[in-house]
Amino acid sequence: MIEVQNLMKRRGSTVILDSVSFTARPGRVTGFVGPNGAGKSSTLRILLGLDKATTGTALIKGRRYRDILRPLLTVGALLDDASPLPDRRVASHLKWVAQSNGIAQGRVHETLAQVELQDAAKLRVGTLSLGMKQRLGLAAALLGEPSILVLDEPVNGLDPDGIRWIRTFLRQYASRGNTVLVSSHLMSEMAATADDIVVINQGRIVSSGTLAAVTSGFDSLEDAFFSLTGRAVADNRDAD
Amino acid sequence: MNALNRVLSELRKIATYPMVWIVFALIIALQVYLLAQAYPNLSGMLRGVSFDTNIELFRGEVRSAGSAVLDLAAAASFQTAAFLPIVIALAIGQEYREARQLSISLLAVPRRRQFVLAKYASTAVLAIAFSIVVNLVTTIGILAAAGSWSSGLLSSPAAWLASGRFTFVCLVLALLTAGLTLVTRDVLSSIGIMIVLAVVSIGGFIGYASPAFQALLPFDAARSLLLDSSFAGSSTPLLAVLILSAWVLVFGVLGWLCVARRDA
Repeated sequence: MIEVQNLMKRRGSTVILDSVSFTARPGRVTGFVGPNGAGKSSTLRILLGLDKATTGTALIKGRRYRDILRPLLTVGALLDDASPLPDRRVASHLKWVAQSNGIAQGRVHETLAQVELQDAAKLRVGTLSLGMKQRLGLAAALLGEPSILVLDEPVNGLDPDGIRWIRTFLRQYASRGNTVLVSSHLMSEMAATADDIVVINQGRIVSSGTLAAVTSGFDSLEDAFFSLTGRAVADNRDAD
Repeated sequence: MNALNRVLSELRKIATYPMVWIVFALIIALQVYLLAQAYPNLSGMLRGVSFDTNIELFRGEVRSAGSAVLDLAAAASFQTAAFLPIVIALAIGQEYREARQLSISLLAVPRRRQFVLAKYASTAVLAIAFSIVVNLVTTIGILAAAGSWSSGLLSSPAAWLASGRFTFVCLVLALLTAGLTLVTRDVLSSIGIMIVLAVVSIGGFIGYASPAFQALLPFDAARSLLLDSSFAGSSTPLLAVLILSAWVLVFGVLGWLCVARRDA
């Protein structure tokens, strides 16, 4: 279970996040959608202890991420703006990550096989395609066999096969009782993957609930998204 | 066990980052080259003498061959150690390269104090390895130049003490650079600052105006600890240890504070 309560983040006079609250539950894929710059990555970075909130809390199984001992055994994460060093070999990258949390080195080759990268173990990261790098990031997230996955834009740069692979993977992962929180700005993809949807725009949550509830009254999630974010912009102008 | 895993993980990062080892190898190659260049002169001066023979290794400085050779070995090692900050800045600075590995590292070890301590511990291991290799190359070079009479000297307690001091200086330079790189978040900036510190210390520019201030500089204190000739720095060995420890403490804490307080 992921619980985000009243998160606020300011940088100088700029409000990045404003009272962001939502929940991601076990056994379900929660889609975190919004346009670029809406605050998706900032929210996930605070949830994962990388950035500090000005106020509010973001808890995983009732604890802050940084309070979890050997966190990779509980949470697997893939960030959009962080990638392994291009000079390092694929297996070497996973080995240092595994070592840091006392995960058996045997898991490195198991996870590489899980994301279908077993033949790339000795390649340098810089030689991988964007899709292969995304899979490597996912392999790192899966090393500790966590019950919670937090993925920031995992389908960015993937070809149709890769997107379908991620979608199937996430659905299966959640079906085993795991919690999956996945951010994206691709509405059609989220509509095909997520059970629950949280819509963020300009740092504020504009809608959240089951996919059916959020899209109720609209032809698609995309229509709901544009309508919701358009209204949010209008609301903000009214407030100003 | 967790702490050990974190340190081993940091060591894996260093061991699997090719740039660190390329620069390490280039520095050792430079040391070998410089020793080879000095070999004809050293050999001519040191062969056939004994421990107590007075020689003039540096102009106007007549002293026993034993003492001169130990100082020469320390100086040869120290000039190589001046390049150690480059290796350390690369090892620590990999977190801040364009790939932004720091975020991945902090996902694995989210508690900043534990993360920074593991970084410093792995830096210390790398510094000790560096000091051993440099000492070994220097010892082989001096033995080759001076001949058999120096073998007893280079395994004497005085030589071991000099090696210990050299390892301490390497640890200080490495930890200082590590802290500095965590503060600047940039490899080139931290190397640049260390070069400025080295040039100001060794050039003695500040010493003309304020010898007391000159003594507080890390490379000057390192010379005071390692050398026993006219090339020594301006403080006593004990004071030098205190000065060097203070530099490590200040930049170690600053590095930790910067990691702890900034967003990743």
